[in-house]
Amino acid sequence: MNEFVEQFLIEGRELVAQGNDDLLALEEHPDDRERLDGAFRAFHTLKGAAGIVDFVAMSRALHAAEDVLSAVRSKSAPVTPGLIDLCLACLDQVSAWIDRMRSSGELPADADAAADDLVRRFATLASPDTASLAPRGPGDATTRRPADSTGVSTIERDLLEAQKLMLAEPAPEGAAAARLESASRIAANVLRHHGRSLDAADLEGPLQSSLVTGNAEAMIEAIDRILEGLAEPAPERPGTLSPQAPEATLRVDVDRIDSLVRLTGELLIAKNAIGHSAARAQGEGDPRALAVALKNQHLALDRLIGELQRSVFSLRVLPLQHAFQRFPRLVREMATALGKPARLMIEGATTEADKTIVEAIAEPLLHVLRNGLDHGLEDASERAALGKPATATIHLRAERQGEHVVIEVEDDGRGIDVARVREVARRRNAAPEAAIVAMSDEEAINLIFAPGFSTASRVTDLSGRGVGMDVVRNTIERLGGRVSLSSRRQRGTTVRFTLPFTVIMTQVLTVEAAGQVFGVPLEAVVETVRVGRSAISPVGAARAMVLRDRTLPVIDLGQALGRGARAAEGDANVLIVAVAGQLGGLEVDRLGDRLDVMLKPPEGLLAGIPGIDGTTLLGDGRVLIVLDLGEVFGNADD
Amino acid sequence: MGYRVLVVDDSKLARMAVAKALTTLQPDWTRVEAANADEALALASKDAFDLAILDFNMPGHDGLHLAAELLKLKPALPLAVISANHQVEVVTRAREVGAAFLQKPLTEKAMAEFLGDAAHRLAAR
Repeated sequence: MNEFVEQFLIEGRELVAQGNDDLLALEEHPDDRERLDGAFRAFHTLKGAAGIVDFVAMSRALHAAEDVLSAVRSKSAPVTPGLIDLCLACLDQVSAWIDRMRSSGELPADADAAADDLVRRFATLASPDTASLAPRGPGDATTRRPADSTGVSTIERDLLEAQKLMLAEPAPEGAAAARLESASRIAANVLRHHGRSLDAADLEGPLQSSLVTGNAEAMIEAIDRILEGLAEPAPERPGTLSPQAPEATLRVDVDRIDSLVRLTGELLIAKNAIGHSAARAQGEGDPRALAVALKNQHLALDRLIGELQRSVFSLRVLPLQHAFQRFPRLVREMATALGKPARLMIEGATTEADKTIVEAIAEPLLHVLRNGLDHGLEDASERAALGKPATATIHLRAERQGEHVVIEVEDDGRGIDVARVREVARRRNAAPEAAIVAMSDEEAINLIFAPGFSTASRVTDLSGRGVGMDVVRNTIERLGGRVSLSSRRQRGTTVRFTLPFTVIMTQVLTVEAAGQVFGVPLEAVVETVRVGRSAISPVGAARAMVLRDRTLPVIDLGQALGRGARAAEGDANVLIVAVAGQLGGLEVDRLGDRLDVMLKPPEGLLAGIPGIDGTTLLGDGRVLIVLDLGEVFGNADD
Repeated sequence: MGYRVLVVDDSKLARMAVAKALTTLQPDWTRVEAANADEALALASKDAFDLAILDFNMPGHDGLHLAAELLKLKPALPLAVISANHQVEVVTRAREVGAAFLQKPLTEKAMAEFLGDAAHRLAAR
C-alpha cells in the first residue's frame, strides 16, 4: 500500500466520522450553519481525497452528495430526513469501501454499481419530478429496492431483467447462441459482484442445455433463481455494529513523541555515567565513593525507566471517541425501529483510555444502550401520560478518575422494577430464595447481571438475542473493570463501567491437567517437548528427566493436584520452564492456546492458596487460574 | 536557486499530493506546510516563503480569505487557490484577489504553469 492510500484510509475514516456527526446534529438543528458547513466540508474533502487516489466511483458518489448539500447551503433545498438518510447511506458506502481497501490494499473493483445507485438516488432527491420522467429500465418503480451491501442493486436487477427480456424475444437467425452466452456472462458477473463466484459456475449447466435445445427457457429460469436468491439479503438488524478490525495504526500526539525523545536523551546520559563508574571500578578507585555513585546512578535509571514505561503506555491510549462515534447513528436507528424517540448526548468523548479498552468497549456499551432503549424507555404515549418529554434522553459519559476511566450510560426511562427483578430471579433460580429475600433493593437490581436473566416481557427484535447483561459484565471484568447499576423508579437507570486506565496484558499458555484448565505465564515457557514416560525417572521422592545433557526436575501437574501417579508408559507432554534462573519440566495432560489476558490477583477463596499467580476470566465466563511456577517448583523441593 | 512554497490544506493527503507534484517539477524548492488559515498566518510572521498554494475549503477562514490576508502582509506574493469544485464564483474571486485558480485533483500541467509563472514573477522582482 503506498503512503497516499495509507493516508487516504486514515483521513477517510476521520472524515466519515465527522460527516456522520455533523449530519446527525444537522437533523436535530436544521438551521445550524456550522454543522451544515462541517458536513459539506467532510463530503468535499472526502471527494478531494478520492480524487488523489484515483477512486473515481467514490468521487462521483460524493460529488452527488456535495451537490445536494450545496443546495441546502444556498437555501434552495431544505434539510429533510430523506436527505440526511441518503447522505448517511453515502457515508456508509464510503466506509465500506474504505474497509475493503484496508484489507485488500486496492481500490474496490466493483464500486461503480453502488456509486451509480447513490448518484441516481441523490438525483431523485434533488428533483423528484424530473427523475420520474427519466427513462427507466424494465421493471415497475415500486419493485425497486435500494442497494445495500448484500442485496442486489437496482442496476443489477435491471440488468438481469433485461437479459430475461432479450432471451424471451425470438432471436434472429444465428444470433441465439451469442445472446445466450452474453446473458450468461452478465449473470455471472452479477454473481461475482456479490462474492458468489462458485454459484456463477452453476450457470454453465443451463447455458449448455439452452444452447443444445435452442430454447432459452433454462437460462431464463437460472436468471430468475439469481434474482430470487440475491433479492433476500440477510435482514440487517437496526443497531448492530459492523465488525471493525482493530486499528493497526495509532495517531500519536507530537508532545508524547517529544517526551520520549527527551527521555532517550536522559537515558543516554545515565548510560554514560554508568560507563564512567565502570571505568572507575577497573581503576580500583575508592570503593565506597564508587558504591555511592552507582547507587545514585541506579536511582536515576530507575526513575527514567519508570517514566519511560509511563510514556510508552501513554502511546497506547486513544480517545473514547473511537468507540463512541458510531453510537449516535446506532441509537437513531434503534429508536426509529422501536418507535421510541430518543436522542443520545455524549460527554467526555475525548477522554483517553488504553487502546485495548477503547476497542473492546463498543460491544458491551451498545448492548447496554440497546437494553436501555428496549426495556428502560417508555413508549411516547406512556411518557406523555407521565408528563415526561416525548423524546427520551440517553447520556453517554466518560471521565478519567485517577487511575480509572469511568463510562456511564444514563437514561430517563422507567427505571428498574425491583419487585419484578426479584420475582424473575426466583422463577429462574438466578439465586437461592433466602439470598434473594435478604438482598437490599440495590443488591437485588444487580441480579440482572446473573447468567440467563432477562426481564423482557416480550422478545423484541432488538434485544431478544439471548445475550444478557451477564455477557456485558464478563466482558468488562475481562478488561479488569467492574460494572455497577443504579436505578430510580420512573426516573431512569444508570449503568456504570469502571475500567483501569492502563491495561497490562500477560501472555499465558493454557494447559490441561486432571481435567482442569490452567494458565502458565508464557514468558516462563522455554519450550514444549514430548518424551516417552520411561525417560522420566524417579529420583528419591521426586522425578527427573534428561534434556540435552541436563537433568531437570519434572513435576506432574495432575499429581501435584492430588491425582494418583501415572503408569510409566506412553508419551508425556512436558513444558520446559525457567523459574528463577533454573530449568524445570512441568508435565501436563494437554497443551491449549496462547491467550493475552488481564491478570487479577487471586481473590476470595483463592486468596490464601499458594501456587496461584492470579486469575482471569475466559471468554465463556470460566475462571482461569494462572499458576505461580516459582511456588509450584519451590514446594517440590521441600 | 530554490524558492520556498507555503502549502495550506486541512487534509494532509492533499498536502502530500501538492508536495509530490512540487518535488517532481521543482526538486530544489522547499516547502512549509500549514493545516489552516490561522497556522498559515502565524507562519507568515516568522517564516519566509516566496509563494503560496492554498486550499479553498478549510475549517475556519477559507482559502480566499487567507489569500487576501497574506497579500496584505506580502503584496507581491504569487498565490494559487485550489479547490475540487470549479465554481465560477470561486474562480472569479480568486482572480479578483490576484490568485491563480487550480483544480483538484491537481494535474502536473496546471501546477507547472502556476510554478513557471510564479518563478518568472519572482525572478523579475
